Amino acid sequence: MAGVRLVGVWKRFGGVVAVKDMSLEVRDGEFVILLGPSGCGKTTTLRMISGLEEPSQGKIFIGDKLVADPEAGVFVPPKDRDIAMVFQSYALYPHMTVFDNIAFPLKLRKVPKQEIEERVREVAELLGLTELLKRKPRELSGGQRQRVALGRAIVRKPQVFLMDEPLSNLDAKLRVKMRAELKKLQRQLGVTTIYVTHDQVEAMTMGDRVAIINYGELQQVGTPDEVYNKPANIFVGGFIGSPPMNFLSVSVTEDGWLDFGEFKLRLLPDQVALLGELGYLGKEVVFGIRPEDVYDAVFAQVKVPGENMVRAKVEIVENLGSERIVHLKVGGLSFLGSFHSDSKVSEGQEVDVVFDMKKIHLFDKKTEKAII
Amino acid sequence: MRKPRSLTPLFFLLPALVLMVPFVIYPVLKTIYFSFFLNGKFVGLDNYRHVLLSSDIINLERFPTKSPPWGSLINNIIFIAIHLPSTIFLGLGLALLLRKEEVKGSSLIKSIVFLGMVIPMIVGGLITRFLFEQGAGVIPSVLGALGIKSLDITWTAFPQTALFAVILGSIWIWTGFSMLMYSAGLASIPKDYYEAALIDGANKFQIFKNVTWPLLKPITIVVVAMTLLWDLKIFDIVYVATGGGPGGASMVLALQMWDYFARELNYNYAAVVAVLLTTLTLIPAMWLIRRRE
Repeated sequence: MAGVRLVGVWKRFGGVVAVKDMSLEVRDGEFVILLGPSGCGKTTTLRMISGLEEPSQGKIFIGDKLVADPEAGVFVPPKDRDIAMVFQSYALYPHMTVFDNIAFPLKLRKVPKQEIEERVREVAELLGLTELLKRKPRELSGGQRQRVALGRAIVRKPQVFLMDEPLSNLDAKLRVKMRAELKKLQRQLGVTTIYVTHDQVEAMTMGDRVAIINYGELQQVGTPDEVYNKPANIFVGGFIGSPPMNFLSVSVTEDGWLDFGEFKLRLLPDQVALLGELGYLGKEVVFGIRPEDVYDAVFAQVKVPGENMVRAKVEIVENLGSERIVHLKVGGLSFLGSFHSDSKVSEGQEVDVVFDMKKIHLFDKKTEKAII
Repeated sequence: MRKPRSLTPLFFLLPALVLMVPFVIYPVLKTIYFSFFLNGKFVGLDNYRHVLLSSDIINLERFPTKSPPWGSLINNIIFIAIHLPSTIFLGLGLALLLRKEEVKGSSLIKSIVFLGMVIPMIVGGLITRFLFEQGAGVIPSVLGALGIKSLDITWTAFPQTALFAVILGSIWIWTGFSMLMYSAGLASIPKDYYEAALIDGANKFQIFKNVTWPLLKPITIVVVAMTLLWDLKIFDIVYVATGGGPGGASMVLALQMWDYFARELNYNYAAVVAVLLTTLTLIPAMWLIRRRE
């Protein structure tokens, strides 16, 4: 088994830069998610690792082996990279039975017939496909097809699995089930896996680490907790989490307050110290807070009127059962709060809102990078 | 209680039947009827016996040891044996070579190849005749230049070569059809299959054998059936290029039928050939319809 390493990888299609100076290390046996919005270059990155696409610049290693380096004229074709890929469309050969689909990579490698039989049966058992081996792909449900595609990848015992949005064609319920199954399977097999998705829930629930990409550039790599709690920049903060993080423009006063114009919040002493050190006192910054860190004052433990509590108008209440997403407004400033399901707020009402000052994020206005 | 069967569906079929009965069904039945009569008298299967045993249709005295004429049915079979695999092979080959993403100007080349399909068959026959004309045509000239003097002749004028000139001309005309069908077929295969095969470890030949060719099967069925039908019904090219000659060397069933009818004025024998030809064409036609369902 092997890790994967990208060093300063670029991909240009004509004048368009699809991937920009990407450096990423995926450790042996790790499950890493490439997450980003459509067209951010995550699939292109995966295709470069697979060998379906050649980088314009930079180096790609699988294990210790250099598999792509245009400057040195190195390009190892996909079949010699010892990788397996699961496609979004599954790409199951429609004219072959489930057995033949799974056996195909082994047949191409001239594995003895007896062994093919054994390995396919083994994989089929692992994935619960034993009863379906004689069927054609068109006679299978979406979830079954998905498992066959996985089987075709697993059967070869490759060093690396590459998965391109493998769950996006399944219905919501099945996706939740397959998410857990896939994670369990990866643990069981211990094969390095690189998984592309635009679904942050998949990323957060499945990955050991998440690499967030936007406009072809790597934004942040970290564990799900890290990217959620310590977003490196405004993009990551806004992309991860649902409902999304609130962003408000604010100025930091010399005496340690956040001045929103309509109201003020008092910073914690260590936050003031840090901002002073970095020279942000008296400057404009971007304030970010997740809706779940905005409380209905009734349910807040620490509330100091005028310091972390303001009076806001309730515009809309979205009841999700487990929580209430409340659209709040203070003067001209709008933000979301995710309130406790027992909260009695109703539309048009005025409510005391508490900000959890320990959970706030501040970003540089120009670079958009996180300060706190 | 069962509802009495409604006549409404029949009513809707009426406009079609009004046209089909006098112009298709009646002539077909009348032709079959004629094939059992000679000079106004019912002769049972005598006409069939006569036609099938005649050297016009199957000439086993000359086939395969001596030079043509070999009989029009045998000529049709030879026609199919050469024309069918050639057009499939050439059409598929061209379609594979001229895939849009790989070749610049592929549409132009495809249009030129397809030209054979759009020109009237009569013109196709004339071009065939011209292509194989000694001193003017490309093929005798090239073969002559290559030192094959025995083929630097007017192909359509000699019994040994006339049938092959017609077959080769037909390949030129019909390849456009198979190329176009295969081009459409290739375009409909999702890229993912090729990429999956590439990752699974297949080389170009293995991809073709295991992915492309099986996925083109529905296209191949149509091309085979349509080509068989075309080959069996072939008339105009032969009529213009050789007239079935010399001495019946390039005679085919459809032309034979016309010959009995228009030259020998024996419409009973013509009807026999028509029935035979229809029966033969029904085989690939039925097969195609079954497969398409």
